[in-house]
Amino acid sequence: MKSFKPLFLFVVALALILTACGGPATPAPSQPEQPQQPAQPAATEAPQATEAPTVDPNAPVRGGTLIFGTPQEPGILNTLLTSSSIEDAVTSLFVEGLVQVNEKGEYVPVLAEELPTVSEDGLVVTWKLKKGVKFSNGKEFTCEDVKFTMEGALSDLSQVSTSGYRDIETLECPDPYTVVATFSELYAPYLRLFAYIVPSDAGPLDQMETWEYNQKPWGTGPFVLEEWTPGDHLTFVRNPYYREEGKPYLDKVIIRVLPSREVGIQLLGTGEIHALWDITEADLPALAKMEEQGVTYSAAVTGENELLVLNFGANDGSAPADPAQNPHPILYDLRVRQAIQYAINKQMIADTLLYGNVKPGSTVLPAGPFACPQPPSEYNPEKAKALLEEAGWKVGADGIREKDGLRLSLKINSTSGNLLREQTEQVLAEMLKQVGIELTIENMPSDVFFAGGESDGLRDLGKFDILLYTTGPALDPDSHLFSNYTSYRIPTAENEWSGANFSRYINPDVDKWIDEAAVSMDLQTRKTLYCKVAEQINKDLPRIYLYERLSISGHRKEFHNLTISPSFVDFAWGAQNWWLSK
Amino acid sequence: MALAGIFIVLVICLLVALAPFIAPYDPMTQNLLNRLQPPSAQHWLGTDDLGRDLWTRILYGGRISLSVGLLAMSVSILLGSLIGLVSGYYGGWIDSVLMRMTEIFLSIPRLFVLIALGMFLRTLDLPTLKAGSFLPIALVIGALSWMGTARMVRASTLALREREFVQACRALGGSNARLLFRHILPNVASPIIVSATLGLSGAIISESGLSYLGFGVQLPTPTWGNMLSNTQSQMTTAPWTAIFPGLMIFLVVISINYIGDGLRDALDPRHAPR
Repeated sequence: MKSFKPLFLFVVALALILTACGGPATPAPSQPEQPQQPAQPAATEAPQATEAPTVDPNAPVRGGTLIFGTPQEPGILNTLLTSSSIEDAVTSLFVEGLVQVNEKGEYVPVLAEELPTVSEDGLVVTWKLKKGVKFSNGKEFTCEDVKFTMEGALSDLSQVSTSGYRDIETLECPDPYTVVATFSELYAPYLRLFAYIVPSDAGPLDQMETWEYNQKPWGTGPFVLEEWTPGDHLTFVRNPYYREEGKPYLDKVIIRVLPSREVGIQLLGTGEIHALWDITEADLPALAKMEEQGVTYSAAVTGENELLVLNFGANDGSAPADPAQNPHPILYDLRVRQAIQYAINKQMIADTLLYGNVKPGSTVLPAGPFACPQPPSEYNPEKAKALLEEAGWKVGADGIREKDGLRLSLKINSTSGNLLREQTEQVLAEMLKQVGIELTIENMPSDVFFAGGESDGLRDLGKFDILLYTTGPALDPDSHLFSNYTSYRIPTAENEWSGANFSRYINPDVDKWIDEAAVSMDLQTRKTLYCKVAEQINKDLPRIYLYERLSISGHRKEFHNLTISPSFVDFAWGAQNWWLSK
Repeated sequence: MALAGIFIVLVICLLVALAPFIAPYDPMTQNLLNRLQPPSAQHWLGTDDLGRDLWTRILYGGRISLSVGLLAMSVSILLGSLIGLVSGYYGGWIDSVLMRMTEIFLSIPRLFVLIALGMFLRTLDLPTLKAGSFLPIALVIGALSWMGTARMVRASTLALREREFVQACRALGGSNARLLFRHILPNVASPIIVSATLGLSGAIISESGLSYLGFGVQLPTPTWGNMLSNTQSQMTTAPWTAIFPGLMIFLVVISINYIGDGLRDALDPRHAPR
């Protein structure tokens, strides 16, 4: 017995170290199971193979099985009930809408002949549908399906946000290929409402939760679900009625459920999967290392920025509706905020921490139809120092500036357990130290960080100096700009902590422009107004944009035409064009 | 083995204590253009994700990790042995109360308590909780990990209480304190030492978990625990960032375990010398 003790202790110690390396709650996966489907897409031969010598290597090859890996598994595949982004991603293989978002962030017609015509007052939207489109069960796609989808979205069981849908007064079908939607109120991002179609024969709306469709769905998209083995894989095959001749190129798409993203990256290297859904910027070096093994990636700007939120109000939890009444002792001064921006080398952060894969942040509207690029901020520590001097902050004994006995010391809060954020914070602390600003780091789990005002959440209560997280507008900036930058959306006890203007930023011009844009139907007018907002934000600096976030999928080089749309919902848009080279 | 353990622990303690004199770089100075460099002549153990010298950070990190570990271990051993001894020796209602308390502590999910405690400590806003302070963390870890020791000590005490030499001492009029500390305590030393050595390693690793909850040692202050955590995504590209801090924890833990083993043998009156 005695002789076993050292061995036992050794094992215990080793186990402790291994668990520490692995991080919490991610048991090291055992040998990945063998895929039940043929691992090599070459199993299905391509008809064009005979003319190989003359064929353009970039011409798509028909046939093959694509294996897509994901560390998450969908639970339900009914667009009206989905709740996670993997569900949205998988449904986009078979669900299409009247429009979808392309890689540039623009809406393009899919099941509609063209983008709709809109009445002068913006309340009546008329769509012309494509004729002869069939669902994978053979049923023809008509206006009835559009109507059914709207009703489904508004039904009690639906999990879809009813915003916009509830403004539709009537939706009529004058003929099977015309849709006339009449809004009771102007809803500028109305295109969003028509981005998916649920077939009208899916089932009765009051029994939506028990539809067979939820687990065995179909649609007009290029693929149709053939088999679903929970916890293992989903197999999609060609939709026999797909409207584009000769497409999709692939015979099959298999979504393989993986134990973790790290396993996925390894499988990508060995070629067991062709693509890995939704990786983070921090995984890019691991992918870069597998370049020679045939791994690459596709990325799109999401329209969101990793950013700093600077608090104009006092950080004592008083949550003033107007920060002027109880200003932040340091950050209320514009010169200090400017100095912080001058002191940050955004390019350096983008080039090193993110391996040059992202653009430094410069605008609240980086992508999409309302993109408003702004000149990049200048990195100039000397200017930062001069501004701080001017504001009365003098260098103290330990190199940190002081004014009237107050140290120029700020705290930065973010979500813990995020390596990239932790790196960013430490780099920022070092950069700010160079100009005499002390930045201390305090991170917390994301549910604590994002807690609401009723549960003492620091954002709503304004109990912070600087926050670091990601946010940004979806395709239409209206709701984001309204809730994040207008004075009406400053969270206070009176308004029950609604709103996301955590900086407590007040600029009457910005309020006015956002209001005007919300009720304007003219795209160009709205664009101009939003652009003025973006420009003004950069002058007032309630937030500092560090870099533009990406949506990334890793894939093998033999997998062609994977283009990522900035909208996560339309992840598999263009799946009919995917093909595998041999 | 115990001697080798003592030697290794002493060397590590010495290195760590002398960190400001022997560390080749400043532990906080970043060099982003020189990040994730493999071990080289300039950087013996390579550089971390922000281009800081890993060897330097290991030396400085050890100061906090070892302090947290030792302090937490002392707290938990002190509490655990005291409760175990009292509980086992006096028995009756004292035993019932103390053991129910132990069970309550054991049954509360630790993470839950830590989150609640973290929130509470944050609202207090004590100066000792400032970033980089390890005192509260060590106390918290210690205060939440004494239960195992208490139960082991109680079990041994229960058995010892009825032994002849204890009975004899009591018959001779020995006070309770004398009985407890002179006669029983030395005989329960071995379970205490074993749990102490295991507790030390647990504390070093718990520390990084507590930082995650927002009231531990905060970045950029290095500790072995936080140097290890989050290296998962770098394991394939820069394995040294995980290996070296892990190796240090491993060395300390195994050395202390051997020391514990040796101590226990030395303290065991019935153990025949080898």
